[in-house]
Amino acid sequence: MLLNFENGDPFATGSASYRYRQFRNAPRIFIKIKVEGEETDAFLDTGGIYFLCSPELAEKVGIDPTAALESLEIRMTRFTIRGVLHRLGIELLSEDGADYPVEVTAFFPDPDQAVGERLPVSYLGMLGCLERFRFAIDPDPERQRFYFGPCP
Amino acid sequence: MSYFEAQIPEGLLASAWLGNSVSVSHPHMSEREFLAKLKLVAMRHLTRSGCAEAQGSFREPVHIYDKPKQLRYGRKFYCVAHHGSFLDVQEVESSTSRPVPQVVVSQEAAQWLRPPDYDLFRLKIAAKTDISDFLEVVKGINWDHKTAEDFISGIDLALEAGAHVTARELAMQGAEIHFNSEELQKYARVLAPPKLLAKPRRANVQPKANTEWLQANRNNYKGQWVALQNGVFIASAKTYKALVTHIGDVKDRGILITPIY
Repeated sequence: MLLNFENGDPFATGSASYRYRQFRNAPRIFIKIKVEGEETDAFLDTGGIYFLCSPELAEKVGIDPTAALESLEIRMTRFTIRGVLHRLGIELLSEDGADYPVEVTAFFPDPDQAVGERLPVSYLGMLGCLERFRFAIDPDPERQRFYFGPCP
Repeated sequence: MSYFEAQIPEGLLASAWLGNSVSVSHPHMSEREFLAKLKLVAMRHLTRSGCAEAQGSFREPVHIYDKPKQLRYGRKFYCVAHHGSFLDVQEVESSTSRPVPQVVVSQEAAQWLRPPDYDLFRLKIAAKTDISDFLEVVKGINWDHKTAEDFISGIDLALEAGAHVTARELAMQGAEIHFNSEELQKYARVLAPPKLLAKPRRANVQPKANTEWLQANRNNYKGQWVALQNGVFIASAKTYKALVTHIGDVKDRGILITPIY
């Protein structure tokens, strides 16, 4: 059942199951997304910024260097990483309702850094990425459902 | 503690031991900003010279002369320019109470003496100190009269300082003012808020019809999962997985799947 406001307006237009699994020192919520046609996992990081693209995904997707900003450093919890900001199309995949394609600000790590082990998966940060979604979690172990919809 | 001479990155020579009761006035900076600048310079010098035990503490009084502003330590005099830069001053041979210093302006200091660079100079210093200082400096600048290059520098500094919301705000503001600047338009495009690419399609759903069916029939299906479509019963099962397996993919079909407690 998708979520609605009291007046019947949709809060969520799509939903999908998520996996709650350990990643480094904390359990994370992983969902399926599509990036430029490539299906991949990413985890929700509401305290983070941008869509942080893993080096593996960045290599598959590729970017236009002329459309990227100057290189900058982003501080993660235990390390810093250098890369560029670029616009990118991602899609939240729905099992019930509609998929949600959105263009976000993405951070692509510089390929010459050895950060593959530190950044094996992509992150969905709040600023520049999740901030245009309404989203909710149903943590019931029978369901483990991630609901999402557009925020105007 | 001995004094060590050191060249700091901006090309200015400076070293200061600041007493706790230092009071300075400055025509363009607040006392807090000015002291922050002095401490930053001193800390860099201490770190580089290996004076680890002195980090974080400031000892020895500093003598401040009114005109021009000078800091004195040992036999060296340092002038503080009106914008807060240190001008390097040659060591004075005489140890009398009123020596005459020779002032040599370093190339870097001379560059910052130009008034139009002052805002950017302050921003650059603040980006390396504290994000709250940086935000305060950004807020105090009148961006309406800044060039596209100033905006780009400001955005880059904001990203460097971790002030990502400010970076976006500057990009949007700059792009609106300098609509001819391709580079600034690129910054605005990349840093803009996320944009929906296509309106999510949603199948025609009648939530009221479903609610009415649930109210009328819930007692018959307690403890089960049911699938409804616009008030019409489709199927039921003991678990969500069993129900979905039975009715197939529900995506975009407007089917309500819900447990009944």
